[in-house]
Amino acid sequence: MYRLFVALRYLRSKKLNLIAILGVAIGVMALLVVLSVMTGFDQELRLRIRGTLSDLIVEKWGTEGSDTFSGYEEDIRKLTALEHVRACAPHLEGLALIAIGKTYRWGQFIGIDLEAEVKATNFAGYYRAWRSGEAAEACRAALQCLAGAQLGARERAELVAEALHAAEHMSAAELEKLPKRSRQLLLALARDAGIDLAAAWRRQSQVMPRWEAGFELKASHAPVIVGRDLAVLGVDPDGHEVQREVGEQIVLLTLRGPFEQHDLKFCRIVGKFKSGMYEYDYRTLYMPLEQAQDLMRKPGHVSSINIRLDDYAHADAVRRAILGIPSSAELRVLHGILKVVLDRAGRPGLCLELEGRLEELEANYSQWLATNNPKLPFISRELCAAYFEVMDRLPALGLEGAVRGLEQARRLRRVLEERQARSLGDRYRVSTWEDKRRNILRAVAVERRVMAVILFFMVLLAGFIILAILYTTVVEKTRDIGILKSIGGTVGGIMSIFLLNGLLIGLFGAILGTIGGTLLCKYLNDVEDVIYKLTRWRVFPRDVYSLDAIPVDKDPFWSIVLIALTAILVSFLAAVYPAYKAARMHPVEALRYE
Amino acid sequence: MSEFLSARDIVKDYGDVRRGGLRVLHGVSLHARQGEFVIIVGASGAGKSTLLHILGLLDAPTAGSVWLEGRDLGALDQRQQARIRAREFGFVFQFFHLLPDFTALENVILPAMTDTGLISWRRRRAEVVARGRELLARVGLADRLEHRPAELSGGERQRVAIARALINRPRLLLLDEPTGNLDTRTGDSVFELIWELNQKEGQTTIMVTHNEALVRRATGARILRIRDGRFV
Repeated sequence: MYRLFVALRYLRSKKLNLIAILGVAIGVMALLVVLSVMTGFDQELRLRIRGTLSDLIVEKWGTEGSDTFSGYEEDIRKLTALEHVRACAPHLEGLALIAIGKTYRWGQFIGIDLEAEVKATNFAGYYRAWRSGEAAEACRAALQCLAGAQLGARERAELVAEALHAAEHMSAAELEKLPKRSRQLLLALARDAGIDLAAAWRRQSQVMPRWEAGFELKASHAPVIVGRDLAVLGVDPDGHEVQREVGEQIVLLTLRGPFEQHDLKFCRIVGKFKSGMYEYDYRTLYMPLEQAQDLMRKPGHVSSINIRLDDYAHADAVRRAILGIPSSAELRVLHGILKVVLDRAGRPGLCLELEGRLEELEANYSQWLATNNPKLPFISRELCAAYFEVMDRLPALGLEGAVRGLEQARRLRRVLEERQARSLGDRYRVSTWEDKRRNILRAVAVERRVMAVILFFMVLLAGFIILAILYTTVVEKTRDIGILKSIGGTVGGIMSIFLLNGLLIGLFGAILGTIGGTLLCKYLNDVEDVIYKLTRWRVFPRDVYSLDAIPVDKDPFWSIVLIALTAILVSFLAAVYPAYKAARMHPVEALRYE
Repeated sequence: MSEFLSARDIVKDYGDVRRGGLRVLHGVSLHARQGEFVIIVGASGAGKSTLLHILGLLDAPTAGSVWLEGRDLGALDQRQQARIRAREFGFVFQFFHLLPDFTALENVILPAMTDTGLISWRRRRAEVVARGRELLARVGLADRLEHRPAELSGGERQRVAIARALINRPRLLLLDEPTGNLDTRTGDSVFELIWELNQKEGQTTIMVTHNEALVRRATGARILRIRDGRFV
């Protein structure tokens, strides 16, 4: 009993303990905010890294330029019949020199089937993101004019109409991002005009990209939907972006065969998209699939088929189905059953060989699958063939009755044969979007790991500070320790007083830090705004990652638990040495200490 | 009367004697009966405090043993010794040795907390606090319960220390120069209190002092004189 009593009193009576608690609290708070922002950033970044990619991408084996393929309609039919496949969209991708205004840049054009594209990728979302982004910008500008200068009645009415028109094309999220006064003004204007903004936004979320844009298109011209930043020509002296608008012309120049031949394609912008990843938005444009085939002189060809799944978790299963190969677990089952037969039939040599191949396959399975290593279909098919051959010869060997689970193997064989029959075969390679972005995703992961190591050292540092503080407490309380021993304190008792001291520092620090950190995360953007207003300095410039706010982890529960527990544990561990030192003190010497 | 506490051939060295270490006690023996008042007198450095520490299990002898009612205390482990210190012994030191972060009352009741668990403490708390108040009242500090040691005079501090020594109703009171750090008048009144407690409560009391005046006043106490680590 006295342990907790004494520990609590020591905690209260020493200012240094308060500093230690604050130290832990600040550490926990910093960790929480950093981790939360990092995780939030990671989630945003993954979305951006993914960009316009769909869940799975099917391509033909081949070198650059020769890897397009025809007959894709049949492939799409096969793919759509597979389990977990929700939609497929064909792409034909090519490189072109894009002439826009007086500037030229290299970029990528993608021929798409708009109807399929909308179902299989997030293209419609990026199209809407551009529309509402432009609308929000216009709305913000109009509202600023309204709030600022002295205006005539006519001018005012025009601006109000403009703001309201723009507001109808925005989204609810963008309203939240308007400054508070502008937001209130806009809502008041909408109420006065009797406009239901929520209904308008619901309509906006149904808007689909189309190749028509309300103007006549010459037969030789292709309609294109371009990346938002591709259309930007530069910045005028007032700091406004100059861009090519919808309806204006751009020209594509493509090379064909030997280098002396080239094709020109005149295009007109019918819409724009914004994926948030500058590299895409700067270099990518979409056109109808037939136009792209025409331009590349590859009628009926596509370069990839893009698949959306009902759940990304099934990606590997769908890949195996497309390739027509068994999983390593299925192979293991076949192998386990047939090993018995192979041993009995007196061919352990073959058995060992198969086992070696199986082990090689198992060890590399996921890596081969991710990198589309041709060894994977090759070896798995070879193994299957060997197993099936043994199965066929069972009756001749008279061993049919001797194998347990043979029925299971036969069922598995039927499954695998059916999978093989329904697959696209080995003309293709299949990648998930993560495989396609492997390098950059890995870079992000390494960054995270390095950060975690640095943060761990921070925690360690806090631990040593607590150790130093507790050690001074022990030295300071030397006489008290002697007294406590003389009135019946045991070695364990004295030890636990100081352990409790450390534990309480950790506990209170963790509680304070968690509260502070959670609050700071919640109001992080407001805090940043305040700093900006006071110092005119942006901690987090929005345009670098084209994020509207500092992203935070949306579900931070487990990281909070982890950080709080780590802080408490470190404080406790830091108390071990001082507590041990205190407990070992000789009572008479402690009492003599002045 | 039966033998209550005895120390047999206690030797205490500081360091190895053959290598220039110091032998403080040269095999002293001491026997005290239940309820006896023993005063050990000697000049400073005679080893009397060391003997008291050894009797109170705060220090271990180099040789020899301490027995309490036929039990060899040196054979007990650290926990059992701590238990005996808490339950059977009460200490009063020359420099009071109160915990500065606790009030007078808290200082007094701390020994009662040391061998009580969290749950049994809830049961015992009222009783212990009442006894703490009563003891402080008895040593004349009824109005000083919530004062910190720093806010008390030397005499008052020593009275708090005496009250603390008595909280667990110890059967042995060990006093190390209890008046040594007080002026004559306060010292006298503190000694008066100790004497009175011994007469009324009957706990065995062993007091160490170099103050001859106290020795003269303690009629009926057993006086032992120690010089250079030996009784004379």
